[in-house]
Amino acid sequence: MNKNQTLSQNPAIKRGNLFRSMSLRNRLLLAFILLAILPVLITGTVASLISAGGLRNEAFNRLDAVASQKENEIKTLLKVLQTNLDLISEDNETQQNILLLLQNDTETEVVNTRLLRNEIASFIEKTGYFTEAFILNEEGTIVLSTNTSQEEKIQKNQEYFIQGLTAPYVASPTYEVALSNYSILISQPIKNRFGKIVGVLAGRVNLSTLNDIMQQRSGLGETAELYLVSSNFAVLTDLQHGELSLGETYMRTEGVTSAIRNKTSGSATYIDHTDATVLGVYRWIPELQVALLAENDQSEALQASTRVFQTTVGLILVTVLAAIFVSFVVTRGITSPITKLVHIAENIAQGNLELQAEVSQDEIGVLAQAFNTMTLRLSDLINTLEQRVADRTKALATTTEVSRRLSNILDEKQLLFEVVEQIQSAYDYYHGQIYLLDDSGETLVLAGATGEGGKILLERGHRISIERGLVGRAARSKASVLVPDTSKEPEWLPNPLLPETKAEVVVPILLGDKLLGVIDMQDSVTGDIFAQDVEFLQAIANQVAVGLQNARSYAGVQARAQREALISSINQKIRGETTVESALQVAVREVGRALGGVSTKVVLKNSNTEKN
Amino acid sequence: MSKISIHLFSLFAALALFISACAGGNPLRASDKVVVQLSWFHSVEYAGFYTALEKGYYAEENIDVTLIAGGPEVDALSEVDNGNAQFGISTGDSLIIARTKQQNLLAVATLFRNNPLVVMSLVSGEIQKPEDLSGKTVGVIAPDLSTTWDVQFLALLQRMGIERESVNFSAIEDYHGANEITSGKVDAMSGMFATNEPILAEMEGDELNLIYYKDYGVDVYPNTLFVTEEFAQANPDLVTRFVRATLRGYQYAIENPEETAALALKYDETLDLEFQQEVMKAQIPFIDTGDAPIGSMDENVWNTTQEILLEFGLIATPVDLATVYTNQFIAP
Repeated sequence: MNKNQTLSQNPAIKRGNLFRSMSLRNRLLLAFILLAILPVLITGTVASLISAGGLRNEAFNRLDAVASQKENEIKTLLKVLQTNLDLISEDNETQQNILLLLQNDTETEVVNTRLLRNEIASFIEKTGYFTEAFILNEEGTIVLSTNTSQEEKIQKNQEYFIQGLTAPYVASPTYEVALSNYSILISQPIKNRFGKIVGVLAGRVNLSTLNDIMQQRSGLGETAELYLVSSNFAVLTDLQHGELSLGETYMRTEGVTSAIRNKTSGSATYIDHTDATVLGVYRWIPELQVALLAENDQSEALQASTRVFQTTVGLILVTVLAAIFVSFVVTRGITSPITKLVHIAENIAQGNLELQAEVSQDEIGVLAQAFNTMTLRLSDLINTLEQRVADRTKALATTTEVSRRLSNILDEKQLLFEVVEQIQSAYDYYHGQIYLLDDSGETLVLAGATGEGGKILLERGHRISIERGLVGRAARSKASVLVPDTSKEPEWLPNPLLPETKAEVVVPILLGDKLLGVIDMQDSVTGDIFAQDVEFLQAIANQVAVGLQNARSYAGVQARAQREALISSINQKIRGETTVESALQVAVREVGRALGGVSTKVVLKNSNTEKN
Repeated sequence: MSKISIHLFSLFAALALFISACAGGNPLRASDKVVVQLSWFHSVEYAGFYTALEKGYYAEENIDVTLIAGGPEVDALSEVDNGNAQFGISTGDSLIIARTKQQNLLAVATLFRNNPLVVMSLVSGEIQKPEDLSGKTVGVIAPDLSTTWDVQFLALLQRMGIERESVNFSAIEDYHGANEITSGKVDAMSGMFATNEPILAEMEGDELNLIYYKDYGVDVYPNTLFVTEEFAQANPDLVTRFVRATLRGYQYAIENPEETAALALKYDETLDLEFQQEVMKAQIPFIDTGDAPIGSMDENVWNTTQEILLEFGLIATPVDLATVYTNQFIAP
């Protein structure tokens, strides 16, 4: 399970870090653009939606008003049609003739059918509401029609006839095969003077009247569609968009279906027969069993809102461009110094400390300043470190050199001189000197010194009591004394011959526990002598101690050898004398020569003396 | 943990979907097998059946449908009566007659809501009304006038008070368009389907006058869909589903005539597409009259049919029409 979790979580982590993994600049860019777009997008969308909602309502209201108007016009038309049908038989003579015609028991032609037909024809032609008016007898046979080809047809099974026998009736649109058209028939009973129904008067409604009503646009827009659909979904009136083939054009849009299936009125947004999204208002007209549709393309109705939307899109584009430009400039201002700092940091990481960051006036400038300081410090630190390593190396070399020389130099004076010279030059001290402890063990005698001051002091035979000064303190304590700033040291004895002295270090020359003398180094700069200098000086001092020891023992051996050689040569000379007198003479002379020309005499005593 | 619960959730969701699919669609139930005996050779007249098959309307109703073409030698009534087919197509009058012969068949829908029979003549023949047929030579289907088409023609004449003797009958031998009229053999041809021969004749350039039987009181359904009474009683649900799918097919056919006409060629590749398309368009007003649901039948038409049969002695006594047809399987 843990394994699964890890596996499945990895991509998520990567996704979550996408933003973070972007460069600082891209992140800033993205943030700027988002910040710029969001408000425009939100306000634009809200504005579009609000205006769309308002426009939609307005469009629906307009469609509804038109639909109501058309519905009323159609209902009015139906009343007018029925009144018109009534008017056909209004005239007394016509009525008489119709009734006579329907009395089919008479074989004789009592009625001039032709005249009657013409009369009715001219009437319906005048009003234009009917294309045909006809009279059916009780059996449903057309006995007279303004369209003679229709006469004699038997309509007894037709609804308009059956219903028309009892009361005025409006038949729903029915396709008439013989006429290749939809027909709306209006019928009413014909009563004789006794009130008995003897036939039916029917009129075939002129569909163009209905068409005309529907074609009046009533101020609707270009894309508006106003039409009637029969209950079998066949379109009855002309379409603005699309061919109408009466009897073959069916319409099954959501609006039509809702009206016909549910026999209700309402409104909806749906796809129309041209595949456009429309706002539609539908009405069910029960009197005619048809649906009335008023539709308007949504795109047209919402044009204003679309414009708001387009403006929003345009604004977004402009804002994005502006945001890109501004954020580009700003992020460049922010990130390029950072990038430079990063570059410098990378250089530092690679050991290059010579680059300097540009210092601007802002926080990044402060950072750059800090960076520069850091680089400088780092550089200093490294340089100091190098200097110290060099110093130490040099000191080591000096120590080695001093010891090498010391081992070769057996002359004490030369040794001391060399030591002081070496140390002073190696450490670049102002002045160096060596004191040796005299036989009394109370006084330190200057044995070697550098510079003119040192020469004068040496000639003077400068000496100092071990009770005094820094030199004395080192001798007494047999420990090194470091005074980084002599002006702050009360025990320090200024020497007029060495006016530049500001700091001093004194180390004892010890052979085992025995003090031989001290090495004294003076510097003209305060704080420039370090503890490790003391260590090195001490190491040199130890070497010097050994050197001194060597030199002294060498001098001792040499002096004894000379003495023995002298004695031996005197012995030789004495042995060569044959007489006591001459032997004594030689002895006196040679001893006197050996002792440096002092007056020499030999006193002979008695044998007792000789025996001693 | 959240991953696991998501997996569990989707598993349950899938399970729930599967269960609801099983409950709703019932895909495990075997489909009902149904054989339909057509009244004549394959043609666009049966467009609704083709459409219901091709568009999967029968499949949606879980019915496996086989269509059997008819022909001069095939009697759809017997095929259904003896159980070779469950559904058949025949004329309304034949069902009334069958009832008197103890074939208990029940019409459950009609393909055409109007009688398409016409007397066809050339405009130049000036035969506009039945009375114009007096003294003319009229083509008939059978020399002895025994077919339903001839009986209906005689009924037309009778209703218009035209003496049978005033008309010369001549059995039609060439059914191609108006050939027999243009050749002068006859003045008019009776028993023509407005959705067939006149279409061909007009396509060939003839200008025609058509006298519709239905306009003169001869209202007979020419192609009713029927089952045995027993079958309808035993399988009311299946009949309802079959009728629903078939009428849905016809509804689609009349709204998409050209597309549907092409389907007929799948069943008989020798058919002429252009002709089938014209026929399909001509059928529309017969299938859908606009004033009532397609497929539905009118009592008056059945009454008229029975009257004609009685008039011509084809049945001795009236039958209860309620046993011959029903609209109960047609959705309002």
